[in-house]
Amino acid sequence: MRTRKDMHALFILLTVMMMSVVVVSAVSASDTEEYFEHAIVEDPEGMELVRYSQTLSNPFLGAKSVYDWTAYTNIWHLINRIHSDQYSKSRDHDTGYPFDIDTIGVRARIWEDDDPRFDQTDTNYNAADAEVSYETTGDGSAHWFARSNHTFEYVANNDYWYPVTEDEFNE
Amino acid sequence: MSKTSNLYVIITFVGLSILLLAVVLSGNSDTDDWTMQIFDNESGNYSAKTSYNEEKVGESFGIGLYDAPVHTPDHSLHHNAAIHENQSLTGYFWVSNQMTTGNDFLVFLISDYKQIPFVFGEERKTGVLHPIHLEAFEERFFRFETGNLTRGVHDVEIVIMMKPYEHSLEKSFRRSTDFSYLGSKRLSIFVDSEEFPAVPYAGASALSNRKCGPDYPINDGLMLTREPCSTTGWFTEEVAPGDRLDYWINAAADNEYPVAFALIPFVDFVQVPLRVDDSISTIFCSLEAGEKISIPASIIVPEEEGVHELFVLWMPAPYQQMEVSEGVSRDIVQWPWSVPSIRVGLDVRAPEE
Repeated sequence: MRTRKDMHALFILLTVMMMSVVVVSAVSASDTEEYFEHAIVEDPEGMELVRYSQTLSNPFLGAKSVYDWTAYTNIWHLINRIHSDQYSKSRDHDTGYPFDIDTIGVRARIWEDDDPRFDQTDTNYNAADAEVSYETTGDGSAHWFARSNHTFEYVANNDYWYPVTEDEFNE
Repeated sequence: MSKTSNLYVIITFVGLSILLLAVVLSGNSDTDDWTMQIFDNESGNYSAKTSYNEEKVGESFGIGLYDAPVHTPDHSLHHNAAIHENQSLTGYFWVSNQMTTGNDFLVFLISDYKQIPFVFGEERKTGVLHPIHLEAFEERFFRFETGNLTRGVHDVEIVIMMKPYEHSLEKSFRRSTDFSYLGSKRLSIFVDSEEFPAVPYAGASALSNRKCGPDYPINDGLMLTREPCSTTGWFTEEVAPGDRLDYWINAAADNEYPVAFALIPFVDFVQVPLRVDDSISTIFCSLEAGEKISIPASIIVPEEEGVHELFVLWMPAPYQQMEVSEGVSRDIVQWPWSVPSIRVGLDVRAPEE
């Protein structure tokens, strides 16, 4: 009887633990996700391109992803401010740590209707990040458009990537 | 097993199932807004997968220069090449159309900041503009020859333009051409010499430029406008055949660092003079940090009715060392890649009688 009670207790404990994991995962959003969920944000989504480069490390084990490149542009409106983030990132696929490459860059230009409001570049050598941000006042009634050129150059792996990302709101 | 034990087993099983479902759903949360398109691009022992929303991506292509039609690092031409006097450099231009649809491109060569005819393709055709077409995710090598070069150091840049036959006057397309739909690779070609030529930077008197204020929004780049230092984008213009069209090239250094660049105007992808009353087709400029200027320019509108393309190419750091050693780029402070202005759509129409 004692053994059966122990088993019952174990089952209860396991069930409570598993349900706790599910509940905690559902409410523990990242800072950015929680920010967008609980704030009045217009057009929180941006545009992201990801390149998973792979190297054939072993003919029997197959290809192994070594590094990932991400190109991103997002422009959004929150209350009376316009925000924009543009970045190029290079990360180790397994660890998520910065993966330095020869040249990484981002060039961003932001338009309010027909007028350019912001133009900036960030170029870094032997680095893993390039980023540009913009913030200004605005009621969001105009059409805002952000466009970015990204550059990724990794000479040792003969890998070069030049994607373009863009985002807008009030189309 | 008692009924109570069975109940606990069932509860545990349900809990495991919910947990598994939560893990699966959380793994997909970053992609539930995307229509995923995965492709494999295999070259030798290297492959890459790129994921993106096929309905949103407007431009994605890759280029490279090689000394043989082999896509490996040891055959890359990087930024430097050396030949002897009166020899021509032969290389291979690699192009990868990384999109879900086929695309048209135009390829041309800028040698010492002049567009010149050159040999291109396996058929070894000589011409100024070379059209190519690549199918979805196709990549190919194209043989090219620079032509004989004299003694000295030459900047040679092979340029590829995407969507050259798109002539839409829609503002959304025109704005999408801003610093886009163009890729290029520059080579410093050493012809029996390692001495870079002096750059003939134009002064203010030669440029006849106006100064824009420090708050002008452009940094380390350019924008074409109808009025000097205007902050309104110029996308299209209705013009009459043969008319003179005046415009302004607004060029700016960054607020934090100086820039040096060459400017080359193009009509329908062919180099044209900066002004109709001048034979100069390339100008070299050097701007201090925060310096922003507006340069007057003009063209004669083409006679043929229809939509024609006007843009100016900004080529950074002319006659500067691009590599410190083979494959090792020099840290250039400014944006080191050539960028085009917005392609202004010239809607050429004969005047109504």
